Amino acid sequence: MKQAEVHNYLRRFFQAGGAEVLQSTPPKLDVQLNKTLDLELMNRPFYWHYLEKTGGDPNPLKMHLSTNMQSTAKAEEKVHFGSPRLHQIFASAADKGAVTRLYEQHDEQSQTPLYPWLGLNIRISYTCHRRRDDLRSFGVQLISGETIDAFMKRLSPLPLVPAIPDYTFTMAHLIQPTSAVQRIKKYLLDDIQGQKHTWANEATKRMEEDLSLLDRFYDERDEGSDAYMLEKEAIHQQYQPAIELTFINGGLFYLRKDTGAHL
Amino acid sequence: MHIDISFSTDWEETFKAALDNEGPWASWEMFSLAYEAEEHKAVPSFDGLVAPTHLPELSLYDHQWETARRVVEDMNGKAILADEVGLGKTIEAGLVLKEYMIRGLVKKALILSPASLVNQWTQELNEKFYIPAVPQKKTYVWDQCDVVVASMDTAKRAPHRDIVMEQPYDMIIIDEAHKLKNANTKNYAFIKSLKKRFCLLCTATPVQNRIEELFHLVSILKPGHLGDERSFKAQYKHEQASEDIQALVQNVMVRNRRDNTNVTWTKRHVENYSVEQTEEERAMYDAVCDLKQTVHDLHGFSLTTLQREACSSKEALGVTISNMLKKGMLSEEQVTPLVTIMNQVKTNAKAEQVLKQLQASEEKTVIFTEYRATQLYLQWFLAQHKIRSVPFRGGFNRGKKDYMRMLFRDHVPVMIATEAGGEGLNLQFCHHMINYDLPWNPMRVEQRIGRIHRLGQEQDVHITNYAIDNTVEQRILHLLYEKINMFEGLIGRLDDILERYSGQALEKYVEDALDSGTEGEARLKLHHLTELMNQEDDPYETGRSS
Repeated sequence: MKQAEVHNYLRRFFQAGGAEVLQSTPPKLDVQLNKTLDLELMNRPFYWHYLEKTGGDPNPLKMHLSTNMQSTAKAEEKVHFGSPRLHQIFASAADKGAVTRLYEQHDEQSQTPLYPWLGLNIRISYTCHRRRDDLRSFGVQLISGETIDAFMKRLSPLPLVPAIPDYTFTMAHLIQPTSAVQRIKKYLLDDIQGQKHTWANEATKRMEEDLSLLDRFYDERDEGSDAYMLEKEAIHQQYQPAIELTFINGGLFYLRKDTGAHL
Repeated sequence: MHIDISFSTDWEETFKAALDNEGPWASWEMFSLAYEAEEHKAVPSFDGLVAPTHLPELSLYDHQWETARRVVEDMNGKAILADEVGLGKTIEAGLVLKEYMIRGLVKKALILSPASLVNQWTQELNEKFYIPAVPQKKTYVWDQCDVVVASMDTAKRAPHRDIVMEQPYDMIIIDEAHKLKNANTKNYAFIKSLKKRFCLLCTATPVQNRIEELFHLVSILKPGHLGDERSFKAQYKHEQASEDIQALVQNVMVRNRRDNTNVTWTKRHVENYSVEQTEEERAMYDAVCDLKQTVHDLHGFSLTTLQREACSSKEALGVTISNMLKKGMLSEEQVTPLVTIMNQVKTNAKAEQVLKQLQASEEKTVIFTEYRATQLYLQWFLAQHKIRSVPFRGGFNRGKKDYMRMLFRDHVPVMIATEAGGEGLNLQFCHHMINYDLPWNPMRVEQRIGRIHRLGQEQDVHITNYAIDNTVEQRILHLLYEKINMFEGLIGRLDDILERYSGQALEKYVEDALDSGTEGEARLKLHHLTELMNQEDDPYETGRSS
């Protein structure tokens, strides 16, 4: 993540979070936080608790951020990829952006139907003694059941708004959103089981090698001992191949028929 | 082959709740930001290191990067980090830990270090790696904090021990791991009983005296890698097998040497000062030597110890003499004449020389001595001449060590340290060192020098060795240390030497050599040793990182 990207990300985050951006001229970014963001990011629960008890006027803090790594200004907080502040903001975004319901904006002057889709973003982590992540994004049309890949990419050029636009009605779904989630789960499981997992074979091979060394170290009579079992468990935990599927975020998207066909 | 597959269901709950309550729904922008955050955080490949991209402010040396990569890719996260002193083992260990934390493979980690280094580790992990490490000060820290730094002595004691055993650590890092060379110690049993999914053992001296030490270290990481103890002992004595062992060790150990890194080191300037004793001191030294005639069962070891102490201070000698008297190793009659002679000694010639050196210099100086009594004496003596100093030794607790180091850095011109205090102490801010007396194991001298001559030292370092004329001290300096050029920097292949002497302690060898019947014999034996140490080639390619 380049420093310019960091700057843009921060600016967008604070705007989306309802803070007032006072200055945004890279590498500098000054923002006036609102109460929600102050509570979440500034770690001063006692202040807010005190305010609640005394009923004073809330006075959220300002943040002075810089993406200039050479900056020595004391009043500025340097932010870069890997800095705790950015990861705190990532976590905040993940929390705030977990679920959504959006409508496609359009200029039609006559009643226009919008079709329901369930969109779901997933992280697949392949772990053993090492790890790799893969992000997937699916969309399921909740009337036809049509399922498509790379849904996020298809959504990105569309004008999406939180309230239903004028001259618009939504089509009722035939498939429950939660059932669509189950469909995606099943699809992913089938997909994973159909793959060749060379990484897992490799990890299993290393695990077996270390286990056989362990057997050499302990005499046969010691092989039931606590020490032996402990080492064995540690080796399993070190190498055991696993795949974790985590839903990042998702929601309902009401899209025009012609857009859906393009998807 | 079996693969565990799991779904995390947290999101589904959130989604259901939002459906039921008609919100709250995220804006498209926030939804996109959440997805983009994941894109940035995702680790795209099993291979390589991602940690450096998270640490733009950390400047890494090539050997540190390469070491972390080897540990992660080739050694599966279990390794002995055995760089020579001062090459940044802490940085390498921090980098490996960070890599695993970013990849989500390590959440809970335990760092065990000497008490004096707990704060330093905590600080480095937080400031250089943004790893929220916490020093173990209160009992609740064990289960409530993810990354804990503690001293081995604390962790192995009740009530901590049981709590520590229950923690599901993903990674354990042990600093100064040569403390685990002996498999019959409580420390060893404690570490052995911890579950080690990933584990790093840091030590500059994986072998101090004998090759079995390496066997025990490797057996902590990867039991069976070097076979079982019996077969190992039987094997390593054969030349061929010894090479096989070296090859195996390379699979679990990274050892960078000063001369094969691209680090530009500042120079070492060495001066040896010969000190002439006063007549009274000479009489004291001679009286100690004469004990050999009157005390028949005085072993070479005890005599050498007494001789070395006599070269250090009469205070150091006095402590041992009185202990030997208590233990019945010396009788009242044997001791009395010696004590009379000792009482004549009014000045310490060596201390006077050191005083002159200190008075002529403005530089911060660390003085090393082998003896606690000498340490106390020197502190008193320097105080008499208005030179302030701080002591430093192994027995100090963590806070006191940190405080002493801080006093030395910020306020006091001299630190007087004993051997026990030498390990892990970082004194880059100082570049003058005095060896008031010398240990007889070159590895320990190297550890002393490593306190000031390490990464981060910006100036040339100045080392002054003091030795008393015509004593064991001068012999060891001339016959051993001057020949192996250790003070100048290239200390040869000390660990190879030690491996070749497998089974025989080096210090013992030196003592035996000095105890030889004739001067010629002693010279020959020590010459043999220095020849070995000066060999340029490295036939075993011991743990060289390539």
